Amino acid sequence: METFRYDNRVVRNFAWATLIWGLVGMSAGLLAAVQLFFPGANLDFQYITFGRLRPLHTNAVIFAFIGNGMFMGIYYSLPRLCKAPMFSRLLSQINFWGWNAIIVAAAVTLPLGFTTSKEYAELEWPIDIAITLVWVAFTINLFGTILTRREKHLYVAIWFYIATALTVALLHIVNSMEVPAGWFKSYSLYAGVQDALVQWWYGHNAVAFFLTTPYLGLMYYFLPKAAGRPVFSYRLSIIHFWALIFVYIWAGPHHLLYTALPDWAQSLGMVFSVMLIAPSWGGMLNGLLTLRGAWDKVRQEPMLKFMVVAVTAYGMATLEGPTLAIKSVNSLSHYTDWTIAHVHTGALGWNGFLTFSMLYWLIPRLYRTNLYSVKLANYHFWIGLTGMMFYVVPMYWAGVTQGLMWKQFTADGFLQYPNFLETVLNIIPMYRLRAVGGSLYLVGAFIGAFNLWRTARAGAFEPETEAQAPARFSHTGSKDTGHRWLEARGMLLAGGALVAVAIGGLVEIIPTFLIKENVPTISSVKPYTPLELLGRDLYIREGCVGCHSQMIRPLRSETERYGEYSKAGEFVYDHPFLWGSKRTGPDLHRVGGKYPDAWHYNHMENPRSTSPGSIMPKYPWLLSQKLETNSLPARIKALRRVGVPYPDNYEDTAGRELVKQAKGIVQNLEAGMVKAQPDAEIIALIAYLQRLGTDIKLSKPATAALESVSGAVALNTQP
Amino acid sequence: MFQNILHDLGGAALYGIVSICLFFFVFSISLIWAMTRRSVLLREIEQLPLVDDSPSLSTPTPSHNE
Repeated sequence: METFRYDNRVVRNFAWATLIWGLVGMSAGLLAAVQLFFPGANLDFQYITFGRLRPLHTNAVIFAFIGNGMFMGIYYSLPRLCKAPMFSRLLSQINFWGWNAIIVAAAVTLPLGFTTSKEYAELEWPIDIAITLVWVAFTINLFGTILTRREKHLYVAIWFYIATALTVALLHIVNSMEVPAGWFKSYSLYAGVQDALVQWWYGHNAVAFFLTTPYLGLMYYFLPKAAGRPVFSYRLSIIHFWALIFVYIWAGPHHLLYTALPDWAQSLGMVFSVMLIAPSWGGMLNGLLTLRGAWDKVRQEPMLKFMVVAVTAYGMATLEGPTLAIKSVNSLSHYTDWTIAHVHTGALGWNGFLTFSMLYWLIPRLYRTNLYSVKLANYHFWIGLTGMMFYVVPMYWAGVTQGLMWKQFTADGFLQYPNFLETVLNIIPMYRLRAVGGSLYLVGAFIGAFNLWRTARAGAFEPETEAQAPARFSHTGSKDTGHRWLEARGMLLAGGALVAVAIGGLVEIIPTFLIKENVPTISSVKPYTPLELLGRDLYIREGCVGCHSQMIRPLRSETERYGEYSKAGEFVYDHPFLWGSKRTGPDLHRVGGKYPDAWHYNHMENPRSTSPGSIMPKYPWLLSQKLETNSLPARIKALRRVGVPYPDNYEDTAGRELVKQAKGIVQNLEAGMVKAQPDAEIIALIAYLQRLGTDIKLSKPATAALESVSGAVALNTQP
Repeated sequence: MFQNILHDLGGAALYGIVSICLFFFVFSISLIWAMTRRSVLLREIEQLPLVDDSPSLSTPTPSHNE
């Protein structure tokens, strides 16, 4: 027998980090939710305006709350399943402090507007590099522990951890390929359609391999532990693992149905999404059936109550996801609040409740005491569950209502609600209810935090736990081959998992890069002018993409409302793409030339002056802040490096061209009774907005019109 | 019906069929592999989360202090 010690300190650190960041992230979400029915809630303060707050909320919840929760569970379960302490205490510390320093950096840079705008990958390049380094530290620690283990078998939870470590590394590196233009600005290596495909390959699989696989591993560990019985079927868990990791990676394009993405990629995404129901439900049933004959414990143990709801929410979300990935359903649901309801079933139910479940189980054990109050934990459970219901049900209602209104035609063939704002005003009551639901969930979380804090205060923390296990390997003599074989088996599993996840990604991404016809070029599409480029960067800084799409799908309801549908060739100079995924406001791809410059100026100063009832925030700072042009040469050079054909030495004359275009806009504004400074940020933003979607109007108008007609006719048959 | 569904999907002819065959292959292998594991071995493995608090530990269990 060998005696060794498990390190509880790192588990404790992650536990408190997840709790604190959870409260911060959810509060940010609540503030964002309130701004949707009360735009003044940002106090006209640019740093907490919706567009910048939303990525802060999503990053805080995903990477800070759930990320720390994931590490907490892994750092507790992995050494115990391996019967060996973590490989390196130093690496554990680097993992904890590094990860949380990244989160602090995110909390500072996102409100400042330093963002790549790619969802869940918004952080700028220096932070991307830091994430890579910390993730490498985690991965070495994980494999080191696996290789030095005393337990012969690798329990299935560890398989899920391995898949997580490898796939997240792959996703993060491929999606974060960018060329810097200064310390806090970079341009994606990919443009338009390719960027969209890579981003949603990443975005979808961040959900899969950051929010799902590690938590499934934790479910396979903590659920049997709490229920006091092994998992329902270990065989099923094996099939669950391989089928899930293989299928998940193909499904990303379901985020881009009916967009300018090539049709075959959309079809693949849809088929694999539907197939995903099978492994997901296999896993959910395996979890729930583990409780067979132990349901009496669910009544007594708050921890199990949270676990049961978490696993059920996983089942609901994974049935809903494939449903939303069916093209006809997606044509209604996409860009609406239905998606928001869907992700919150997963975030609040599956990840949130599973994290609280683990905390209720771990904190009393780490502090060697009883839970301060079971009653409070039950309150937390019921308030949280009610909050979840009040969150998701109004969002379903809002999503379906608005989706139907967008598509509603009158008997004469005109849009019944041609004014987008009318469809927004109709769902404002649902936004209010959603904020109530979010508040309840947050109140529950505060009760939980109080309960756990009192528990910790009453107990005595045990920094290390002593354990004993037979030495698995003799490192000398004949047994050495056995050791090597076992090491090889861990690595074999890792290799198999990597191959399984790589196939789907390669099949989808490589053809898009190799086959030129996938992105038909349009000769009249030209790179942005210097002023438009800086305007576009302001659009990115303010997070406009969070509420406005730039992707008109080829559906009659959209071409009637917004104009000609978006073509792949129009985005070839868009680094990054800005298609968006939600229409809290209308699509902007054809907004260029739709309104006079003065309209945009007045609208940005106070959206309610031009659109009474609008829920868009005011942007007064764009009118007063001076446009930063010093970085223009660096930006042009960086864009040239990623493939935008700016002529050589263009950066030398770009400044003059910028001033000239700005003067023109100032004159236009004067004609509209608006006096503006030519060096104000708003001028650049107007230049960009007026350029949007106008390039194809320059090319052979007759043919374009003809195409538009035939396109619309063909699309009349679409749902 | 299935022919129609597949036909309506663009590019299903090549990528769709190949991918589904690939998935069927992976699924079958993992099914066969899982089914051919010895029950005794699986029973041993599935106990791992339950036995990991080694004997020397005195992990406190939370009681219900209502």
